[in-house]
Amino acid sequence: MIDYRTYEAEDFLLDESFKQWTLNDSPEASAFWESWLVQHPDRADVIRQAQQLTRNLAAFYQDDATDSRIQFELNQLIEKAIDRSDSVTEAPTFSLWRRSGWRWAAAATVFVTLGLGIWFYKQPGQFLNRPAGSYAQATDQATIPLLEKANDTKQTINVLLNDGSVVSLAPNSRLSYPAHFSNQSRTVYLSGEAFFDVVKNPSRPFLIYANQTVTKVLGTSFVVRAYENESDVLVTVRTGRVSVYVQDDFERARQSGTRQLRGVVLMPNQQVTYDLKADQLAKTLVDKPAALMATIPSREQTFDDMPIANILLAIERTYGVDLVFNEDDLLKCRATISFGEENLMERLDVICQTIGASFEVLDGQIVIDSKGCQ
Amino acid sequence: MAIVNLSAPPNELWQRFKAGDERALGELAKTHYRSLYNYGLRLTPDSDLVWDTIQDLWLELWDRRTTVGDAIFVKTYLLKSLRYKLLKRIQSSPWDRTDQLSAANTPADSPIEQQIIDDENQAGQLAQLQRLMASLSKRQQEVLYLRFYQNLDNQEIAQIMGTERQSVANLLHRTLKELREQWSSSLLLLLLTAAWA
Repeated sequence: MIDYRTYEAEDFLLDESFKQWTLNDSPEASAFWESWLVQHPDRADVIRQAQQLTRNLAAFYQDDATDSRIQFELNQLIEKAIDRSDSVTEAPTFSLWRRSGWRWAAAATVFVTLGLGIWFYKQPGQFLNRPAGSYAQATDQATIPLLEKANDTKQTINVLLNDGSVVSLAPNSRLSYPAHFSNQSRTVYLSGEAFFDVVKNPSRPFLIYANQTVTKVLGTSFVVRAYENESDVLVTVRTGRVSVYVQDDFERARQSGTRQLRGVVLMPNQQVTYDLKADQLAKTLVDKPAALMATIPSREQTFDDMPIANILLAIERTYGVDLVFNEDDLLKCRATISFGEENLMERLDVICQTIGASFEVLDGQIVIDSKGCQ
Repeated sequence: MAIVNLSAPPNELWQRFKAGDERALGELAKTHYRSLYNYGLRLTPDSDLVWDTIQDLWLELWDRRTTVGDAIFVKTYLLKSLRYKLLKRIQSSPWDRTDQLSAANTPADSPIEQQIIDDENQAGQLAQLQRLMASLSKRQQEVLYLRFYQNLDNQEIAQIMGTERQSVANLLHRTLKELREQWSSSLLLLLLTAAWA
């Protein structure tokens, strides 16, 4: 036990318990010091002076850092640290298929804008003219049978992939994808523009082939925008990370197992331009990321004490996918949930865990197996 | 036993950091960010420079994570590194600052200060303390700060300031005594001035 009777004001300044009492009003410390004061009334002046000094010193040392500023700095730091990890281990030399660095949880939002005449599709007879890496050629050469969804409407349509990922396909766009993804990777081919909500699966990278480039998704959700009448490819990241490669290099690395690979890892608010003629990847900052991102549908959803059935219906509308569930059962239980960056699968996970249900993807639909409210 | 338990979590965090876990970097940085920034402000009033230097400090540590020691006192290590980096940058910058150990920016809306400003007499007290602190040498200011604000012991302070534990103890003792004595007399003066006004 410390003998505080011999303490002068300056000694109290450095006493942890005294500071707790004076600055933080901690209940334990207060109880101790108030009873101590009662027992030692002769030290009241010293204590008062020490408290005065302690308060003034604390005010003197006060800084202007807000919690949000510190959070901002922390976010920046983590982004830069991740970027450095990448540049050290991934580019320019790495083994594409042996790398196990798929641990990025952040959602990725990406645009790819690319050019090349859409008339290739209108004149499929000119087969020989197809440049290497075009949508048509890439889908022709795919090793597994592909389904194709072409959006000839004026609205965005949704495509549910068999891993649970959802692609919102813009007008005048087409997407080719296998009915079942292989065990090694999930490869799709895009011509046009799409918003991808990809289920994270570290052992099966998600690859988008688009006009001589390959975008590898390291996160969970992103937009790919692709127009086939421009002379360059543009990939922009909003959140999370993606890697972009020149398709030739990517294929060569894949076949030969070479460690040399030209690629660019993109962080939020960065974009890469691939100049088709010059065969150059150039990384820049996005001037106005907000404008580019304006086309991404917002998927924030807040449900306040809503029946589960209504929540599922809202999600069905938001993602444009068919959810199969027993509506009567799920009208009775209610939940308060809010979703921000979560993708479709994550949202369904949350809901199913809440009510003790399970779900699976079956023939382009999601079937929810529930046993009422639990 | 209690001591072992208390020191276990930071060590585990440090190990994860060294293994390249970004979340460990985030947790570690979060724990120390404010105290680093606050310390930086003692060394320069240029808050942008302080923010930048702290980022660089972490990133350099991140780059060297595999080679830094296993059992280091993380807080002392960080404060010392920041001090070294900041002082180097301040010295090498063309607009050399005359007073490196400056008072912190103290915004009027900070809760503790608000509490003091509420009372006019106490506003006078803070002004009084500011004058008093300015009369201390830079080393006195730093030793007092590291002990009072950062809660470091004399050994740790000696490490950061590159001196001996005993000289820290002496300096701290002298500083505190001076502070208390001048505080008493200045407050007396303050009271007299208030009575006249």
